[in-house]
Amino acid sequence: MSSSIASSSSSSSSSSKKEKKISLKTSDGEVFEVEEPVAMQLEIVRSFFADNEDVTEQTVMPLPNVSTAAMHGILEYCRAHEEFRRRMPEAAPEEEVRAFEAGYVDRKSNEELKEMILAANYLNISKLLDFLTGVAAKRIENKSVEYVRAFFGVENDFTPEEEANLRREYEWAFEGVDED
Amino acid sequence: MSAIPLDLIVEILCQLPVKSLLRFRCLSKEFRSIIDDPDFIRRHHNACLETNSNRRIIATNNARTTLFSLDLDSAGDVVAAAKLPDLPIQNWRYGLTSIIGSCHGLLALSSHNHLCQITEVLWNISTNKLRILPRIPGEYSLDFIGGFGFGYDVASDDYKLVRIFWNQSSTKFIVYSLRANSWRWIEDLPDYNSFYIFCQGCGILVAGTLHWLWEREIDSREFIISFDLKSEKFYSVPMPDIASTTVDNSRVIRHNMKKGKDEIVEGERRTSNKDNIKISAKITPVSTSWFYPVEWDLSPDLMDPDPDPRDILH
Repeated sequence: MSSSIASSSSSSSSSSKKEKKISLKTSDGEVFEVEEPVAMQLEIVRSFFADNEDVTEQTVMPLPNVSTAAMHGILEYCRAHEEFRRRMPEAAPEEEVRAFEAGYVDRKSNEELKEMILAANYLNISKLLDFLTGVAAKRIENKSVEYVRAFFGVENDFTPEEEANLRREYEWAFEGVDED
Repeated sequence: MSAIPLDLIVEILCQLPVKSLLRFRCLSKEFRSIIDDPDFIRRHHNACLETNSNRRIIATNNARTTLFSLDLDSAGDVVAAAKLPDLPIQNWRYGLTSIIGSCHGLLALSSHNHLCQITEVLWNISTNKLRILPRIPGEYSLDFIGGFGFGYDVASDDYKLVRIFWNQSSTKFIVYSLRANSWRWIEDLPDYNSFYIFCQGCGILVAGTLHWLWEREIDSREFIISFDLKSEKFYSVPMPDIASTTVDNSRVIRHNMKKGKDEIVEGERRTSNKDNIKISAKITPVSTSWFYPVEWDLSPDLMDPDPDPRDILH
């Protein structure tokens, strides 16, 4: 997974010259050494290093809103895309990207997906955020009201009568819904 | 874990089909007010345009008894034509239904009853909501025949339906505004009246302007009259330089304004067997307003032999 991509890319480049790494510390205290081009996909990191002249290579940037689990997921995505970009700078290999993205989200539970959406939003990685919100939409598209309430953690504040009336308004929209 | 913030929820909702959104109005009061908000509806519509999703072609069969919908979002090469449900209107006679036009997912239809009275309706196919248009005020004689048109005016954020009445002595126009829910007669076409102009069929919407092919009775010369939905004024458009080709009004293909560029939606469908129709649609940028007919090869007992590619809904 993420570690295999990381080691393969660092071993291939170590033969030429030492790649610059950026240290990122997650909310639970783990420090990730991230290759610079990958870390720069995180807009919050890019602007931190661009705006602060006194940071050095030894600076560890704290990311208090990102858990270690979410960071693994984020880096796996960013490293894969950096790899695609490096191999084909002109045009991304569309089918490969699609295959990677499909496999990537299949392994994520709803909770993991939501955690990554929050992390991608905080880290300001617009491409990943667009992708993940699209995945969330696909996941809930054909689900019941109860399932989606649980997904968003929404409290039902309608009275039973109000809800029954709302359902009657567009009865056909409740047909053909997947099982939860 | 912490909840997804509102702006991201809206981002997710924008990518859902209308059916899901109508269901999720039941989630909570907050969700209902987000989904019912006109700004959200506009944003959702723009997101559909951006990603070319929620698109379909609507056509009638030959006898004009049934409306069919072809979903352009369906995966795969072969798309089945789905029958649209009957309109929930009493005394609606499907046998004489015509598609006047479509815009932003609103379908404008007209139907005659046995007294030759015409009823027009606007139908939002996504929500299945219907507006029956009021009767046309004032005097107009039943022997008037003429054209229709339907479109959206950005300036007033309003949908307008145009009807043209024509007989040997005059041409009259009336415009319905969805916002006002009323009809209004507008001035005659002064310069052209004396030539006995004949116009039938549905106007083609291009960039906020409806276009009809007109025929001058005295010499059968064809020309195009356009109607600007914003200013509600008429203009004359020169004919394209295609001497050898007969221009068929029903075959001018719909323009699509996307990212500031005028583009054309081109549709193609091929019958692979009796029930299935293959569709491919491509967007082709054009340098002029003129474009040549697309072939429509359809199973005759299922579809109209010459349906109108204009009815690609957005």
